[in-house]
Amino acid sequence: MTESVELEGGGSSSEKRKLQSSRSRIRAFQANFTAYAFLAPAGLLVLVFFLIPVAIIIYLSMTNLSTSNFTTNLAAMENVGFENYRILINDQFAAKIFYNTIFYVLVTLGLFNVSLALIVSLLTTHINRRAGFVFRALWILPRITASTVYIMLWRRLVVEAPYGIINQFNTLLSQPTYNYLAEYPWEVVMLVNGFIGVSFGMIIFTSAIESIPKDLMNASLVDGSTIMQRIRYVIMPLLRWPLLFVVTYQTLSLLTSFEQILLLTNGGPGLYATEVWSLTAYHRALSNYFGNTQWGYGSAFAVVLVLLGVVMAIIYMRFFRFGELVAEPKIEVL
Amino acid sequence: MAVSNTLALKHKIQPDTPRRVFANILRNGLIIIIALTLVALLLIVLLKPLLASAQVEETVTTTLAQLLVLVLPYLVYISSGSTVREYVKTHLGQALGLALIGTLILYSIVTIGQFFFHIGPFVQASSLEMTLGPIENGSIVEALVPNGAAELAGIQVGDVITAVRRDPVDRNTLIQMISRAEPDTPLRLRILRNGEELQLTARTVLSVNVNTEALLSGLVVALIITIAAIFWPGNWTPYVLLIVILAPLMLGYLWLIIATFSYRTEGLIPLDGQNNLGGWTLANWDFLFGQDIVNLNVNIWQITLNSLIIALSMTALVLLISSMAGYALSRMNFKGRRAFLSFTLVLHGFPAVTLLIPIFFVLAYLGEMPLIGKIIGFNKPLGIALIMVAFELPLGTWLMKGYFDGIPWDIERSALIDGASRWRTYWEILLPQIRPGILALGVFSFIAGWNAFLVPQTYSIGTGTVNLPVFLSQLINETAATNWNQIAAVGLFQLIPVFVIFIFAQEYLLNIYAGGTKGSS
Repeated sequence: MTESVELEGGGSSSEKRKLQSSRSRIRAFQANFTAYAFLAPAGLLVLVFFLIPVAIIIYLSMTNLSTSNFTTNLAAMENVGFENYRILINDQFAAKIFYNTIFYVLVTLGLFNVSLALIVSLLTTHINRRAGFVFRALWILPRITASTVYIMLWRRLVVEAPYGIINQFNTLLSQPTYNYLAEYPWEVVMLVNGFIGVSFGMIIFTSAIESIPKDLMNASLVDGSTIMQRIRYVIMPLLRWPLLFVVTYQTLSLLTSFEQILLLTNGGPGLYATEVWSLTAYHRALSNYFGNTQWGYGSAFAVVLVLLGVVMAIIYMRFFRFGELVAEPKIEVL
Repeated sequence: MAVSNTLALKHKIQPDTPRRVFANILRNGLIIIIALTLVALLLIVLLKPLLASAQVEETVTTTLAQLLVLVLPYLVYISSGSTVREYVKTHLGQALGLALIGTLILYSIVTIGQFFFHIGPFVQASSLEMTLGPIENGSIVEALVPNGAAELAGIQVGDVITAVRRDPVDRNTLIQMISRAEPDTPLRLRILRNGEELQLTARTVLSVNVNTEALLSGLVVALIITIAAIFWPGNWTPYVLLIVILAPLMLGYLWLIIATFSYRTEGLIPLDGQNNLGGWTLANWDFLFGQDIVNLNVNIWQITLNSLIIALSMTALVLLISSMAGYALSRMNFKGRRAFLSFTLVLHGFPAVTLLIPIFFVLAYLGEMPLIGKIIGFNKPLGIALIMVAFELPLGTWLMKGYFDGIPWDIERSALIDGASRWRTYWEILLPQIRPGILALGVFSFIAGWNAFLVPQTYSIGTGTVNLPVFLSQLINETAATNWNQIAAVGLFQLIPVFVIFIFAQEYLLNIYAGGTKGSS
């Protein structure tokens, strides 16, 4: 430890040294104690709401806890080992839900969270600064609107004529009208989630583009490059890391967030048409519309996501310059 | 830069000649045609069957392919125009001529492609092979295709089609009905001919309804687009694109505001009880004064109070706990610092929402504990707030640490030398220094708590923790479409604080919604 830094001039005798070392040990203990006191509330919450739940869910996924035996007696459940996982693999709908999830995540990510985000940040950085800021701020709106209100807006946009706003435009242009949510459920789900997702990538890309050295931009301007050439040869190469970061981070958030789908289609229409993995875990364990909540089986679905989350989170830590971020504090103790 | 240097050189070495410009027009157009067609084919031929074999019920691939096919011609003409944008400054007439000839050639290529794939003007649709015009009580037959489906059924020019079976139809509905019918569907048409009514059954056929007029007007549109693309002020393009992309969202918010102040709405149009334009009313806001909402008798202020308790307690706790942890991580060296920091970072990336199931049990257990259970157990707003505090904590700690890192050590050092305790230094000296950080995280936490839906929804069994978003979802689930305007009013009521924060704290929000990556990217 670096406590010795703060001690005044070094003594030569061994007694003094002993005294110093014992004093510094007390100091060190005190310093540690103060630090732990500051960290205690955070540590306690992390323990109660992250660590213990992870342990519980892994345990739960190996039990048969469900409504049929879930009264008030937790002892009524049985440990069934990997039975839930065996059922999951053989579940005829699990495969469909799995592919649904991949489809949903890849398309939403590709079209909105990355592509549209990139387009919006490129457009807003190439116009008047103030106007660009206003447009970016407007893109924040979906994120700060309560999900229920946001979904209400979208329902109203896509609902059948004469109430639907899009269908009103269809009628004006004498085009056929559609009940979009019933006929094109995936499109609506992706639009709704995509419009929320754009802001994350937009902010990251914008700050990356704005941090490109002015000299570089000026040089390319002097050389007479067109906008497209500047994007291709100056901006894009410098966006590689932000792009990778947005892709990995948003993949995980798309995989695990299901609030909008829950409110919009609740997995329908029809049999699991827009059901995704995280929503299934929720449906099985927590949404007891049909009175059969399968805690154990639902947990098995969730554990897959929890493990994936842990792995991805560790990957972020390793890849995104973690070493610099946890550098030792400059001056530690007085 | 070396790369752009070589680009510029290439540009200079080969000056624009008419031949080169023309070649560029054709090349760019063809690249767009080929690229978009390939992507569309990839979607339809490869991706769609692949997804179907994985049991995914989707129409997204088809929709995307249709969109590509729809925009393809316009993109081609725009590219043709914009290719000569530089050249037109020096050689106006020549450039115009080249662009128009280029568009003409590209138009014929596009049209041949459309003919080949049966799309655009050559689309195959169910039809009765007749032309219909609008008339007061139905649609009038204006022309018939010789030996077409309608003629075979005995329909004559001048007939008025009033109904299909017994359902009266106007022209648009009838056309829609015909085009959506499967081929060879019998349609029993009720017809008025010279004042007498008769019924004829016509069978739809799959046909390509091409008229040269459509092709010709398509060409005119193509040429106009080309010219527009040449003279279009280039600095408008980003604005137009940004507005078009944002339009659906803005229309949604516009509807919310219109709807709350009107009797009912169709699309964006406010209507009164007699379907007349207008119908402005404040009646939707009666719920604020204790009136029923959608026939539900609830006390909106109790629900608002729940929302506020969740939001405010969450804000206070997140700020306190994460700034304490951030301070320790930024300013102190202790055993396990590195471990705690990396763990915080892992948690920052970890999706907490996957832990909803086990937290149910944690909450149940906490609720049974003697003293604490009364405050943070089930159905207690504080319990809900505490879960959400835990969810926000990794981000908050990380953010606060970053802000503390940015404060120079000197101020704190002098306080410590003067004998102030660590706690006092943190509370009185450092917290005021990081006010922007506190404000940003506070705004973020308040919005998160105010909008909380999933956690209160999942863990509220009674009414103790019903907040505004949960209440809204109950309203939406329980009512018919007729009362939407009252629900919209509740929605706008919930949105008002968010709008206010949005107006005054955009900059903080923009910074924080990238996940507090201020320090990490």
